Amino acid sequence: MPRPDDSHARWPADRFYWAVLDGSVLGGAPVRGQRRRQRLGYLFESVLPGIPIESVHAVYERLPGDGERYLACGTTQSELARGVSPGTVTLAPSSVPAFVAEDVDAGGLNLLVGPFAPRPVRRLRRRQVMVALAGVVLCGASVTVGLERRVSALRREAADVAAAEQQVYELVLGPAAQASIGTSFPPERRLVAELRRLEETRSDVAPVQETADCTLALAGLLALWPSDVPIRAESVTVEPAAITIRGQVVAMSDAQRLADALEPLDGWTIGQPQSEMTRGGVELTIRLTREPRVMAGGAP
Amino acid sequence: MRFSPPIVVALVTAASLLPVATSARRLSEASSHHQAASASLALIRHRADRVQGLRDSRERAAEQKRPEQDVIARANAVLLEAGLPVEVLGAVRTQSDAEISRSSSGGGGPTYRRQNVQLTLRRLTVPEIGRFLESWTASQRLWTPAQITLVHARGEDDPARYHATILISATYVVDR
Repeated sequence: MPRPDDSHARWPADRFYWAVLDGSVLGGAPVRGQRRRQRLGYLFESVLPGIPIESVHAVYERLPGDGERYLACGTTQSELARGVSPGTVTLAPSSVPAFVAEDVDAGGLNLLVGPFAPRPVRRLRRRQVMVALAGVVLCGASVTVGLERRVSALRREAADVAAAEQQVYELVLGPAAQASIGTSFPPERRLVAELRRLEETRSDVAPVQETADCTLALAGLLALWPSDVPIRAESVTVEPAAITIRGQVVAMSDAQRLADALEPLDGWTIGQPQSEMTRGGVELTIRLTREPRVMAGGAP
Repeated sequence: MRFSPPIVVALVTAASLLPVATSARRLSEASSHHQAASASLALIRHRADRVQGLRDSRERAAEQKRPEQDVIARANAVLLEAGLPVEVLGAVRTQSDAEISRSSSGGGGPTYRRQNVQLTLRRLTVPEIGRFLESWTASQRLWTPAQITLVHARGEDDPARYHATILISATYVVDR
């Protein structure tokens, strides 16, 4: 069981290799992570006393101020493997060399990173990653379940809409609607055809001028027909714009009495009776014409 | 085979997002389908309402031209309804059949024609003619009496009888 101080070890500065590297000589686009460490390692190797960089474990800390300068701090991997106790979590120099003019926190130069990261740290990171991944999986599953529930709800509603549609068809078209599903004349086409048929034959906007009904005019005429005038009607012709009465009366005065009786016929104007004395009596012709306002407004 | 942590993270994330993307696509499809179905239902309901409204309204034009036999059958039915013998129906003649000029409407829409048929009823009294016309106008809304001529039936025993010539007119849609 290591002591509390052993978990954050501090080595004297002279147990490390140090250098201040000019990162600007690397040129090219700025790189990060492993590639940057590798490039800085090549620079660091040039100041190492005959030790290949592959046998050195180093960390690089960017120095404050202008320029791209790095403080390199490293030691041999064998030294690390030998000098670090199993319970140590961080290893940093106790101070930085005097040639480093910048104010650098020596405690921040932890060398137990990367392949030398302590097992508890690696375990903790792995656990954090696992938790994060579990969160991602859980969120994904939750979102998926939510979306699928919404899909199911929409499909149920669409099925309800389809059922309602079918009900409308059956209400309007009757049992034929059900039988015509899947045929070349399906319910939707039947409905359109029915609507078209009705619009052509019953629509108020159908461009059909209604024929004047002469029945009402005849009924009005007969209602006013005098029963006390001796008249023998030879013919009565009722047309949309005119009524013509031909007949025979006993005396001239009877013709006028008939005309007077028919004068109140609504919507019609009676003309002067035409009469002619014959051997059998008085031949009579009376003509009524429809008033212009009635013609314009339609037949009563 | 050992994967590095970033690859594992990427794989797990991708594996988690794949069903999300699939479900999102299904949701989009279901939503589009639902919207289309709702719009279709609204259109169908509108048409159904229109159909019901038109069925309740009066028929203004026939769906097709009526043959003389049909008019004879209608006249006989009306005679019976009015309590008159069918023998009084003397003649049924087609007078004209012409396209209706449509000044108010544009070039679209169906074409309408009007057919006129002349009915002759023999030896009826004025009240009998009135009963016939009353029954006719009540039951034959498509056929409008456009002209009525009553001619005294000469030489008959009963001087109050007339031959009635009735020109009935109906509009119909020309076959498309």
